[in-house]
Amino acid sequence: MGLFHKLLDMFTLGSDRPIRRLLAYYFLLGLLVFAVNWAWPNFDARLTGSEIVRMETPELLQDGLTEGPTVSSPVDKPPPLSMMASVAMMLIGAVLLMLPVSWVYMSARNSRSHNQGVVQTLIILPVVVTGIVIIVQDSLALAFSLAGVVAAVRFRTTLKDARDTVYIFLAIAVGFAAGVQALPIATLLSVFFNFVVILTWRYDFGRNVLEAQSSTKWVEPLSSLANQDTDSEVPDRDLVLALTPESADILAARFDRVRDLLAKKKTRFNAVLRLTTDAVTETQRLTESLLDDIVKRWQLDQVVSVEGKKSELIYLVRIKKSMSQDEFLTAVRGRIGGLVPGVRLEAGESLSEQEAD
Amino acid sequence: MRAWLLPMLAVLAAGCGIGKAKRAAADSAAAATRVGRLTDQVGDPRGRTDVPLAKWIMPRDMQEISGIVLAPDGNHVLAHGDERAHLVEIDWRSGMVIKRFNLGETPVKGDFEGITRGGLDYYMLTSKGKIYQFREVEDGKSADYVVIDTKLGDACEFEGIAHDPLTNSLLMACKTPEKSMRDSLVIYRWPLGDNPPPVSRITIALDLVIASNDWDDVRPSDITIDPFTGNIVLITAQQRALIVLSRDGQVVSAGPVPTDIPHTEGIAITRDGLLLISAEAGDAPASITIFRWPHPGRQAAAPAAGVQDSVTDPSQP
Repeated sequence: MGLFHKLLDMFTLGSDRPIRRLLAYYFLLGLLVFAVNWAWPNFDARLTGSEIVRMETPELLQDGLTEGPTVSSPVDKPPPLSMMASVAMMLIGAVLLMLPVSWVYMSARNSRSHNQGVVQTLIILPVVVTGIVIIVQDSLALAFSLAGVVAAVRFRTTLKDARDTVYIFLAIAVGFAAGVQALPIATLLSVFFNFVVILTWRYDFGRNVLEAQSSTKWVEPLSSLANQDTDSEVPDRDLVLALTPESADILAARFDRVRDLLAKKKTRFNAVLRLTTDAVTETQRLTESLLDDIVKRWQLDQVVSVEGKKSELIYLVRIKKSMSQDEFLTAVRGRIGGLVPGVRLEAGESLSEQEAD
Repeated sequence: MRAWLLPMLAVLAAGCGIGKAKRAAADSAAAATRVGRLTDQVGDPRGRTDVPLAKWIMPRDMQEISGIVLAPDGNHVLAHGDERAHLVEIDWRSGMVIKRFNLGETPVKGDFEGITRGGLDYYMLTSKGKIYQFREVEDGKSADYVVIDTKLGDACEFEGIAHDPLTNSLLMACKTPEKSMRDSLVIYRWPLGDNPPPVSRITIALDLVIASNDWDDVRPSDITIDPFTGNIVLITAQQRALIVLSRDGQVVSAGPVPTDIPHTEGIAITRDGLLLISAEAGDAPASITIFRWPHPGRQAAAPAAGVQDSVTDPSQP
């Protein structure tokens, strides 16, 4: 395994990116097939089922007149060793093609939806399906027998995630392809499936746009934990891997409370100004020109618009020490009172303490 | 542990070897019996032509058998599959599979409909009018090939091919001709050689071919040349008909195949006066059935030699 990892690292230049590592794996697999095919020219024919087995002695066909009707002549069965070699190749091929699928399954999942049973099934199922297809091939009687046997066994496993079902389907498809000696088809299936899954996972395809991206869910609480700006990178990769978004949220909230208790940080704003209006643009223009004149700093926090109701403008402001809350409200009403039927000021702790002093 | 394992393996290997040798000897004896029986039957000049003399059940890889052609020695027949250029050589006298080979390392895929031989070269035809020219190779090998595109695929869906030694040309039987010729039986002639004459066509009105038979249509599934008369012999799967045409396109005879064989796909006539018909699997497994061929002089005298002596090359001019 060490050598295998070293080879993968060599081809991916040590990159951990899943697409690069997948490409390197398939490249190595192709190289292996090429090398074996070079050393053993008949190998390719075995993979595709087009192999011609040399006859050791002439084969006697069945006499259709004297020996009665049969389904087909038994003379075309390959020698046991040759058959075993072909079957082994099909089984190994199925496992080698499903290994990267299991890696993708493990990678493109969060820890909650990870299911070790499914991972192991992805490796084992195609081997079993390949064996069954090889046995049943061309025999309607065996196929019916198999259906009977399978019907007698109760399968009642419910998979939690619809995507798990798709993985199982893929395992069956690869098993079928290997069983009918169509390993090139199985290879394409494996490659195409893996890259589609990786890309849909990478770009969060199909995400509900009304919900925050999964990456945002992680970054915000973790940045908060690290007391950094939300734009910055998450500081510790191990921390990211260790936490789910929910637990990171809880932890961040706890840290916030601790931070508030231990050290009261000086806030940038000391009040929230709420204005209810029908003329949002005009109100905004007038308010902001006023705030420029009378407060130390301000920031438009939110504009809430609801169909059929008045809009609400919410400003964060830092009122100067020289101005009281009443003076501030009077100034606001004086400038934009005609446009704004409702003006509310929510004073922060620091402002209240300042006025009390 | 190793001490007793090796002798045990040796005993097993020896057992397998002895088993194989015994089976091979038994097969050889059975084959000799079959050849003897067939030789006796062929030697009877008054034997019926509608009773099969032998019927060999095809192996699994030949269940979709399409065309058949006699090998240069006249005792073997080369059969090919429908969808892949996989060939099997069978000793038609004993029903022994002699060898198998493919066209190309990975057998060429195509809708192969017929095979014929001119000298040592074999020609295999697809329904779209492509001809694969190749030579026989050893058992288990892959044959190299040359593709000749007749570009007649739009004019006709082909179903059979025969080499005419007199004109050194390939006769290609049309199963479904283009619309304007649907009321005719159409055979294309594809000349071979260095400076071949242009491609020609034989068309015979279907009414003349059908004559008093109760067929709606005539769709050939294979074509061959009668080595005794040089006549063109056609077989059809749907109508289960055997049609003999003279070289100038006159209908010599048209009637049902000797016994009711479904899915007839190939036809060959030996110099011993035997008709070989291959049929693909349907309700019954694929087979090659052997009948007497009513060649001129058959009633007058029996063939001087048995089947084993017939080593002449029927396709050589």
